[in-house]
Amino acid sequence: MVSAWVLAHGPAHAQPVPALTEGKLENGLRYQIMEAPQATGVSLRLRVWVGAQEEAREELGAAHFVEHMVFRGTRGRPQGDIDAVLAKRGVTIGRDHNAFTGRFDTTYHLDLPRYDADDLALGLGWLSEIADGALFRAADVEIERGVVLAERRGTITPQTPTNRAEAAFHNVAAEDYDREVAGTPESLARLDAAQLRAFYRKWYRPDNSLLVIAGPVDAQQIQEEVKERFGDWAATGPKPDFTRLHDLAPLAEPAVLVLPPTRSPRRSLVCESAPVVDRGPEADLMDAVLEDILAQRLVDAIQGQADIYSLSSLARSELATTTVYCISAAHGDGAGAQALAIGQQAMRVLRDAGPSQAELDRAMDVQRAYVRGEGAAPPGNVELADELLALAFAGEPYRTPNEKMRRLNRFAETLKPADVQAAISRLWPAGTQPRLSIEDAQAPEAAALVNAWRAGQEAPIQAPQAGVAAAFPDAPLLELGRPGKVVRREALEPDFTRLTFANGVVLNVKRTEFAGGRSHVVVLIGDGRRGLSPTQRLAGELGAVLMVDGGLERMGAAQLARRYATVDWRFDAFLKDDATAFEAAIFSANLPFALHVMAAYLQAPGFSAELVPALAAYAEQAADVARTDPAQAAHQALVAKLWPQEFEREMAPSAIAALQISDLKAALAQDFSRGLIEVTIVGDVSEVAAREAVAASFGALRGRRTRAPLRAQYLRLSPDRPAFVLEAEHEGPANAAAAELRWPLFVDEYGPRDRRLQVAVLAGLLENEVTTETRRRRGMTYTPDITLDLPLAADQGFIIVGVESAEGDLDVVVRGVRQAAARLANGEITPAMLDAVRRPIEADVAAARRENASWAWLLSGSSRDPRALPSALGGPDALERLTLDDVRAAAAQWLSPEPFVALARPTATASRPGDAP
Amino acid sequence: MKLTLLAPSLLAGLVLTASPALAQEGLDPVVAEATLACGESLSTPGGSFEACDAALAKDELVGEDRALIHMLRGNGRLFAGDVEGASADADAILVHAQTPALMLGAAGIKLSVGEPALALNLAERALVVYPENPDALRLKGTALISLGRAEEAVPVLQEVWERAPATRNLASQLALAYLETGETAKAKTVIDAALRADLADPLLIVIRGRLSLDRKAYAAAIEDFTLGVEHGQGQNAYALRAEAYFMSGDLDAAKADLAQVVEPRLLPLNSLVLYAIIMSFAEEHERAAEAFELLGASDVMTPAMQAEYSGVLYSLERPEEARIQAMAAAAAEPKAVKAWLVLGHIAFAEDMRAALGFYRRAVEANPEHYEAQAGVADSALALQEYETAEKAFTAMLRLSPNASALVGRSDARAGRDDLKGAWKDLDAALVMAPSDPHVRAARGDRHFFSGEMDAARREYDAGLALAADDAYLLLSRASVFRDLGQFAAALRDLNTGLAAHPDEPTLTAQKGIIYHLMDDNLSAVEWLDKALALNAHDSVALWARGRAKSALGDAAGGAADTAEALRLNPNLADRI
Repeated sequence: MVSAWVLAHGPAHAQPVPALTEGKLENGLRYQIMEAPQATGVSLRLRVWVGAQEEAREELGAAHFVEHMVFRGTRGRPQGDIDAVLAKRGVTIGRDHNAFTGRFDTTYHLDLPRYDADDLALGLGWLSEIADGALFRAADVEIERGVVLAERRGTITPQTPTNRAEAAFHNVAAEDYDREVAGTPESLARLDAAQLRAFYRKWYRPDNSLLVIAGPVDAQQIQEEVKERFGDWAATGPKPDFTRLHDLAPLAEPAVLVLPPTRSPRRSLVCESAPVVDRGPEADLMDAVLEDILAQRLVDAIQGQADIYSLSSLARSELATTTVYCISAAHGDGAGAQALAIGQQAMRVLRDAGPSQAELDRAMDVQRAYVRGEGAAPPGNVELADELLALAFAGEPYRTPNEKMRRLNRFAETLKPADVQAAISRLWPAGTQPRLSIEDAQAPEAAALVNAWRAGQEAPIQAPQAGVAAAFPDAPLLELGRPGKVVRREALEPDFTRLTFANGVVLNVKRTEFAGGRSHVVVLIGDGRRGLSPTQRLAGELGAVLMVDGGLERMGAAQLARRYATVDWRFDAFLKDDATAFEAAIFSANLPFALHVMAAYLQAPGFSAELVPALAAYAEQAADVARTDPAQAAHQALVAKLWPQEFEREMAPSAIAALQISDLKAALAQDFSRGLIEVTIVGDVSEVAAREAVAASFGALRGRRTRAPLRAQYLRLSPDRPAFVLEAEHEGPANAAAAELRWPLFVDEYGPRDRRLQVAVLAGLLENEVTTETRRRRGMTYTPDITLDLPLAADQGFIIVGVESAEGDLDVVVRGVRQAAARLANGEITPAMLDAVRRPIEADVAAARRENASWAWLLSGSSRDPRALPSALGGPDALERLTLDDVRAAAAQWLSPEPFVALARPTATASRPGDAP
Repeated sequence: MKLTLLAPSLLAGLVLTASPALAQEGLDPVVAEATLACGESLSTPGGSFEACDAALAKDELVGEDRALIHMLRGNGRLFAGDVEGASADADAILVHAQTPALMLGAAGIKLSVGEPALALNLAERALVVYPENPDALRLKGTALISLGRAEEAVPVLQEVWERAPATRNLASQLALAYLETGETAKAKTVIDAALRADLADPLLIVIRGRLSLDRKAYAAAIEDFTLGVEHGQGQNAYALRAEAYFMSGDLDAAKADLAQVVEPRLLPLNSLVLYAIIMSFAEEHERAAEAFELLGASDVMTPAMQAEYSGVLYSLERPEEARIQAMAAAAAEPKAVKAWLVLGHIAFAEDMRAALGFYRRAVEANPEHYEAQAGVADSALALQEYETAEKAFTAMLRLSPNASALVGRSDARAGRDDLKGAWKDLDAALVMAPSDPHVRAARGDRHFFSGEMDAARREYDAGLALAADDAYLLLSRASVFRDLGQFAAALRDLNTGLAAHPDEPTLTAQKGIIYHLMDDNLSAVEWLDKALALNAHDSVALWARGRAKSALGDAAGGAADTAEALRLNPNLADRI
């Protein structure tokens, strides 16, 4: 009986194992250096253990403000030009270089796209500047105050008060709950340079910080550099004490908070609190097991409850002496109390009867699948650095995937149902009184809710549910014909082959070694948006997005999720302009099953009733966002003006609200039933394996009626259309405003690659200039949003600028955007400005060429239109050839005309939810 | 064993009997006191030899006086079971004095410690001085019997019987002599006469038992031997009763009696043969081997005994010696089935083809020998000669229908693609032995090899309901779980098995393999290390460890394990 195990197992993959070096400088700075030979770039992180928790009442928001101020100017970089300097080294600001402030920490991130000693020295130097070199000039503080307020304003929605009230009720004593990372308008208005500097000196100290470095580095060498760069960092005064966490007082009887119905879907919570206990070194594993078992129980518990959309547990929240554990329900009006009662019953059943062994096994298998996923592909520098940060937060040591797997299995060896039962009993003890918050337009009276809860506590528990495995017997998801035959094979490149099956299905397969054991799959089906009638496009778009959650005819999505909890089966689906696309990143060994599932969805999507609440919630949210989000209001107003018919059919809230599930299915069915199917597989997979997997799935479908791809129906706008400025209103935060500016681009379909690059660079230049103008100089915006809408196989695109500001600043901001565009159009572009855009693009292109996903998308569609292929496969690097004159010419051509502009300001109505200043 | 139950009066009587001079001659007071103290200490239950040792420490004690003390202590040691010490005292007697009485005393001891030739010599030297001394004649007769010269003993003892029938132990020795010469009627006459004259001693009763044994009157024999045991007839009586028990089918009782035999070399040859055979039957291999070695030294080994001895040696994992004995036995007697079987067993581990050949010779020697047929069946099955195996299993079933043979035949039939026949046997086995977990295991295996995992699991479940800790069943069910990808369940079974059998190498190796399949290669190497420490020749474990090491990035270690696995089992790559 020994043979089968090897037959079923492929060759063993060995992955390089990262090596961690940890240490502490004499000044107390802890550092972690992860040598990761397989990584291409270097990630640096500086974490300071200070966040909103340590702020005094008069300095709320200070930690976040300080984080902003560091970028305004430091001793070594008084002009605050670090972004520009890093951009020339290929660093994309916002993604590769950023900072985050939380309740307990502030962390600075820098991801260098490649390992270069000079770049690394620059990065470490910059982090050392952050450590003790921030300047806090008064003028800078005043400008940045506007940015901080703008960022805060962007987080405020009509639902914010409800969220805050809910969090305050459940997590800490209400009178103390005001520790928002962003601060309050009042505190932000008051904080001055001296206060910020004092806060900085108090908390930014080596003995309160952690430096993380991950990449193909030599730890020995880096240690010396760390010592050199950070050894002089001196703390000011004694190390301050951390603020004690607030706590929850035990309740004598259930407490109820009735929330106004502002969110969609509605959300109600029940939380129990229990004493904090030492749960031992495997507590994280027990939490994970418990979470998985409970998640399944809760999904089961709401089966058949049409108005309860989901029931789930929230992560454990540990306070000073108590642990809070909550069940959260998403539901429709009138179902909140019932949802909480179902959650209560599920928790009691689990606590009083414990889980089954099958549930335990499944939960452990799920955990193993996670670890297996981590071990399958070598982690990059970014993943490693972020993992170290997460571990530092949790107080956990770093473990390799192999060590994690062994730890899991040692834990599993002794894990018994009674252990899980004991764990849930500690989190959800019998006899304690819960906090219940209910958001429901038809919420019962608080007293009625308490009585119902008490009755639920007394009610006999129902018998535990049957074992998981027995519920869903194995059955094919789709009856397919015999495996398809290949009728044509084209070797297009050494590692790129195209196969055509007898039924017309095309397979592009490219073998790479970017990620051991992993592959990326893209399937293009039909004609996409172009193939649908205008009235079906919205349904098609939503249908594609919701399709996977709608399950299959033979098996619902919840059943699929449970039955295949430890294998890849989920994929993304969306409607592109020229095809419906399925996309998945999977283990190569799972390719046959993944393709089988995709083929099953293509042939027999379920679009079950499970989707009804999701669609309703989507419609409600869309309407809400359109009404209250300033940027969305500006966008919709502009679209409605430019393309009124399309807006009414595809974007208007009324159109979304009118959709039925059957509409989604019908729209997709039309696209699924005809046109070419092209499967592209890129990754660690042989041509034979890919061919067999496709032959047994898409290749085994019946032959399809195909036709030539439909051409684009652009031009969408006439070049002669006069520009305009449109005023719109929103019902969102009282002083928030937004604008959208669109510059049309008219390019030939599949125009010269150089031309496409020109506009891409132009968009980057515009982004930098707008950011400088509106944020850095004026302090009126947080993150201006510059989008290049340049679809392939289309003959028109746009450069779109979205900006948000205070209502009073909007005109100034829009003027700043126009001025920035005008400067570019006038040719005010320096080589340094060009480099600051070009280098990050180059780094992105280089990174993309090491990713399966990028290749899969590059090659997708190449069978439909051969013109796509040469550009997909590379050639002379057009980016390098791009000259300053080319870019200036493009700027003059595209940015000289006036843009179409929409401005969204708040309605004149009185105060509304949200307290943005 | 110490004869502590021996009555002190008996010991004192023996001393006096063995020392005629003592009663007749006057003694030095010091010597007399020392002698008396020695004698009294020996007469006391649980007494020691300290008084005798103290007497012998006196330098003034010389000559016959000193010899007398040695004689006393020698007899004491004899009854205490100290054969070596007693023999040394007998030698010391003769060093210090060689009077007829002392020579007889020494002869008595030597006779008791298994040196009858010396005893005969001493008796005859005493008879030169006292030609008609009945004790000397009785000792001579006894020595002759012990030397296998019963024909010569008969006239010596008969003459004393007619003249002085009350001579101590005479009747029993004469009866014994008649018994040894095959004159059982005369033996019975002597016994009857002695009993009528109240001259019976325990030995006589034992001899009566032997007569009963010869008549296959086992109950009567056992009764007499029990009397002998109770009256100090020692290991001979135990050996005889063991024979009676053995012949009456009570192996356990026989084995228990033979456990009382502390000096097999003191047994008569007949008893020694029986002792060896019973010990072999009882799988007391060490003791059986000791007895066979004594028989070999006595040059009385027959081919049958050699064959039996070879089996004992094989069981003692002394294959080379076993092979020599078996080869000798088979050469001398081609029908010595046991010898062929031993040769087959030895070859089984190394050369299955040769094993089959030996087993076939065993079957040729005796087609009705179950174990011979079993050897053919098992080796043929291993060689995938299914037709031969099936015939042999069928023969086994004819000789002794049992579930195990049915299971074996089902394997043979399955090998011939006769699945219907295989299942017929397995069904019959289940009917025959519904509580035999191994039948369930076999049925599970059959399903397993047919890919019927659920059915296999049901059979293994049923087997484990009968034997929850059975290592094979747990391993088998773990294999089902493994092939179904239910690794956690597989590990649970393996852990249950390992709790009951902590160092079972196959369970240990399988646990490592499961971990490898779970992509937990650190645990895999840990467990496969343990498995290979228990069984370094497990090529599958080596292969698996090689894969696990490779997956951990230890390419050199992985390659070394893989190479070693293929060296141990060149067919491994084909097999997996």
